[in-house]
Amino acid sequence: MGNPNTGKSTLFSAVTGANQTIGNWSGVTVEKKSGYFDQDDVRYEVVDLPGIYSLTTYSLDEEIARNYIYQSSLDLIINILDVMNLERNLFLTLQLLQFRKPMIICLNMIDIAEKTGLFIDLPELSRLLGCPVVSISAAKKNGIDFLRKSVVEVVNKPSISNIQIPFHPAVEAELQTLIPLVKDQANLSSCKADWYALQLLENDSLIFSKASDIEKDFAATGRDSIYRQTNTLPESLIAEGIYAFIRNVCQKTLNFSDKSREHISDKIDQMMLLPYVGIPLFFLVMFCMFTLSMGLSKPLIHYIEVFFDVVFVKGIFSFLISVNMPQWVILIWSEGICGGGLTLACLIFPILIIYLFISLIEESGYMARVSFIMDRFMNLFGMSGKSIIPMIIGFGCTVPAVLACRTLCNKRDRLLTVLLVPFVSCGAKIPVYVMFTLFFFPKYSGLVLFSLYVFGIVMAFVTAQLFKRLSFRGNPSEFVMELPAYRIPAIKSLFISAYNRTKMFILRAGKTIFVVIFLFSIINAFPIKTDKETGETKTLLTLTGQVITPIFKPIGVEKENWQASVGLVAGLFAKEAIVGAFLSTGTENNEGNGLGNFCSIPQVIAYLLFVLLYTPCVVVFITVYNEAGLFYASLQAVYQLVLAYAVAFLFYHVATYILL
Amino acid sequence: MSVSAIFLIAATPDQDYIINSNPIQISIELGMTKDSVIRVMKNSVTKRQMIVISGETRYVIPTAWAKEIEVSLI
Repeated sequence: MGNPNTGKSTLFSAVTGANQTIGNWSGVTVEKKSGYFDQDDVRYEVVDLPGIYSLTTYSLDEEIARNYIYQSSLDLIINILDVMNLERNLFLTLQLLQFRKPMIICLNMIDIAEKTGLFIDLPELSRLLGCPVVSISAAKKNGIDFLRKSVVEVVNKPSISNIQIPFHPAVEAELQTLIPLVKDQANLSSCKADWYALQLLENDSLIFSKASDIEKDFAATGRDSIYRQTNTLPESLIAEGIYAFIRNVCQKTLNFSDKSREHISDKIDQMMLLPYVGIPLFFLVMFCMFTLSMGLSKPLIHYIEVFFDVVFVKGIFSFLISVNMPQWVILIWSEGICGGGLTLACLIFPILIIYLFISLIEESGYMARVSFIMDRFMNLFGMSGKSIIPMIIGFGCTVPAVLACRTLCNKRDRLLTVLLVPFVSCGAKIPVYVMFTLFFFPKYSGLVLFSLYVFGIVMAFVTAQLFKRLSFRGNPSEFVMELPAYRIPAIKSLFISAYNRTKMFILRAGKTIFVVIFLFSIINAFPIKTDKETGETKTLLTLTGQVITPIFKPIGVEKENWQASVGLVAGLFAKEAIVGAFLSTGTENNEGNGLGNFCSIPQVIAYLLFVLLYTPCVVVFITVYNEAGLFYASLQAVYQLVLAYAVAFLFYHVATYILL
Repeated sequence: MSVSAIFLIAATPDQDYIINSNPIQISIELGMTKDSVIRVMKNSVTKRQMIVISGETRYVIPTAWAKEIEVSLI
């Protein structure tokens, strides 16, 4: 564990071989993740926790980290520190050392420190803190083997630091009174009495909840006495005592060869953080992300289409006919499997480019700046600038975006952001957009895609205004956030990150699309009813589709376009399923696997607007339920459904009227 | 408040100040303790957030905090 943005997840991935998401901003990790490594034929479990600045918690993700440390029976704490911010990072280190558990201090980014002329006396630091100190570069995987060996050594031969921090005399006096009183309760909680007493004086909520009434009374009396003597809160005095100790340690162990180091980040920020530069720049980045994702992909998509057509469709199609395969097998192959494979292949490049942009924003340090730049703008809609981070994550997937809302300290802001995040089109909607835009708007696909994203965000802000007036009254909370130094991300690292995310996305989307194609194709291949008058055969899917289609008629879904209705129902389970539904329900008469049943552009756009806005998938519903409760999960589902219907209805009728 | 002391909100950007008193616990835990050096990077009384440099770190902090942190020019 350690402060936010110190490289915990990078180290976790390096030690365990896992593939954790990393980024250059605070709050990348919002839940605990476990992994393993083997050393000398013994398996060790490693837990990656969200970053915290201190054991006092202010947000849900911080609470997860703090509670884990307090409540689990861990063998060793690996405290990772950003060596470039050693003073601030050591605050948590000293709090952890007082907890009296075996610990290794891991100084990360030592390579950057050396480059900038910062040298650290590691043996002296280890002596002053009373525990092993190792230096590593997690990103370059330097020092990882040595760290693993040190872990094994400390686990097998635990040693606990007996560091004593001198506090203000008033605090020391009260500690001496409290320690004998809390010994039994501390033993029950498997912690040391001096640490337990200190937490009581600091008014730690978790420890306070465990304390007996007598302990609480003594702690309250002690806190009053300290305040009366010093006119300062005990927790402030304790923090100041720790920092005084840290400054002494830093003085003895740190050596800057060049104290007049210029911060390039500051110079960039002088420009970037100007509102009339920062806000247009942010929108420009977003515009480039979507238009380039389609613009650069289009030529490649053309070659993929040709390749698929020649090899899979014509080649294997001819073979299947030549060996007299049944019609339904040929249909599943040509319309379903080939169509699904082609759609997935066409998605690779747009998705890869979007993930490249998101990785660039995350790894460069721009993400944190966006919160500051956008705060005033977001505030107009009753939201905090920090809410922009979950919304950007939402371009990838809504589930981690909802989880990222944990970093918002205020409950009102957190709930409001959770409700708004699904308006940002997630990656799962891209297959639908790409399929539609390439089919109906081949020349303007990038612009249409960008317009859909913008419209989603506009609707999020409209909803924010509405909710602000109805139940989320009051102002969004102010926030505190670290601005990391800008880093030029390594091209290789950007591509690896984007590649891994794209791979995960394609695998997940592929599974959904192919399962839906397979199921729907099978159901659709066997007729269960024949119309006596017309001789037309109907399958279970056709009948179901035709039964539900009248519900969507007001938004432009005609009776013949029953595939569109089936797609919308399937999309409740996963948005990619909409594509699967269209591809699997195509018939020989249906040009474009069902897309040909849309009779007009207003119908197409109304349908896309409905897909953009309607109820998020079931996984998002469950995540929102876990994070915010049943009421908000249901509110979100119903509100988005009604809103999507209303917007699509209005658009369809107004556009049809104008075009007529 | 001593004669030369001001609140951080009134501090001139790009000048070093020493903290005289700070009642905001979160900021103390981030290193903005009494007698530590702080520098304002971006400030505007009309905005909700400002940027300060404390130690080696840049922070976005609420402007409301800066109305309570008392500093003196070094």
